[in-house]
Amino acid sequence: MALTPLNLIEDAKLGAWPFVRDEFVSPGALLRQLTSLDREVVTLFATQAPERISAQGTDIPIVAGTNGTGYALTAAKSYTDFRYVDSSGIPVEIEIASEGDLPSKHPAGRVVGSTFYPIDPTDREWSATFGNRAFYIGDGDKVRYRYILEPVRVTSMSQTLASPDEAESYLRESLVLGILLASGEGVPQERIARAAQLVNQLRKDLNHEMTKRAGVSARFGE
Amino acid sequence: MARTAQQIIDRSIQRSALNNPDLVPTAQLLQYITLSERQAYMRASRINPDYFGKDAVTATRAAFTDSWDLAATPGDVGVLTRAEVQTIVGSVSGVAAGDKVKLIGLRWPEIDVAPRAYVRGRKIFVYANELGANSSNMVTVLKVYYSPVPATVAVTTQSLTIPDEWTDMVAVPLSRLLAFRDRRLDEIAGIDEEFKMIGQLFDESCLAFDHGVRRPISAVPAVQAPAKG
Repeated sequence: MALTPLNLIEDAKLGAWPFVRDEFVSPGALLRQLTSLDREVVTLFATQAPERISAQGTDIPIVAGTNGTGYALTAAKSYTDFRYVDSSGIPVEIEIASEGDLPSKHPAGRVVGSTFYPIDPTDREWSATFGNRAFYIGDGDKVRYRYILEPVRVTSMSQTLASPDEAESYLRESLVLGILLASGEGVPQERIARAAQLVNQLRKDLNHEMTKRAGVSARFGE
Repeated sequence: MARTAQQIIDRSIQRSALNNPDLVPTAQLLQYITLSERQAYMRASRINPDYFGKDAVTATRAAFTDSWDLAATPGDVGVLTRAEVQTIVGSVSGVAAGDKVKLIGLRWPEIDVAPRAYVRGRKIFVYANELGANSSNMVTVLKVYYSPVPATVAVTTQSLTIPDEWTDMVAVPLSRLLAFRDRRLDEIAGIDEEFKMIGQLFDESCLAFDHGVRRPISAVPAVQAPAKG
């Protein structure tokens, strides 16, 4: 199942029932709220469980003469799981070093903007006159990576959100809160307070559950 | 059976032995009947546009840049409440017959999503060609839902549009006119009070007649709960 604005907004209107003031509820405004929420959820997953929403990038073949100028990556919000795959097809994890830091091991690289810069294992800035390297040789080896796209703006009711299904409750209840707030003075403050409380709780639940999808075991007897 | 204008005039005259219809020309009486009847319909449309609600289709537009003139067809639109796609020539991406056309204010179109249209000068204009970008593929006819305004009452034999139970919404203002014309100012206060009561009953009927309809709090008829005591 994919999350669509149409389903979420219709569900949220029913969730806000009977305090929906249809003339005050703007689908355009709700789509913009969904844009922010979708990006928020994707950011949560990107920082805590990137494997849930990341996509496999196209392998980048290494060309010895290009190591110094870097390799263009698919433009994305964030990148994960860089691997150096040698000519035999054996993958090795690439350590991504921060700008200005030296890597603790090789193979290593840096990501600047949307460009991957391999780090010369011989620390010679890819000088062609300096002998052979152990990595980034250009003999059929390649760099493999995954990436997470920045969610696009939500502009239509039928668009599929980037957020995974388990974010549905959080997204829906956030919209319920938005609808109640937009519906004005007729909505009891207690109803708004309960909705806000539920949104906070669901955000915590989402945060908690997103990393527990696999490898969950019983806690009895602990 | 709807009352004719003559029956309304007769009824107004009969309300007081002092009424003299010769003081007001028939043409003026007919204009007052038209005015009062329309005021009653507009009053109902403010409270509940579904009370006298109607639906009709617009004229067929010839080009994708054309608007739909509601004043011409269907003509009797007082308050427009909804528009739907009725007929499509060719095909329009994302639009099918029966789809709701979102009515927006031109100053803030982003408030709703496509397909959108705005109303200006009793015409419906398509926003950003969202109902077709060429004349071979476009929506040609809309179905509109609205609260109507009654037709002009031009002759005394013409039937009124307003249902019989609310003819006093027309007859009482007419008797007020007759009293006013005859300078019987002491009667006017009583007529005003009577019209106020009839008006309240009319308002309550507009609110409560579809009480079985499930609707949000904002649109629930404002029927007062019984007083405690």
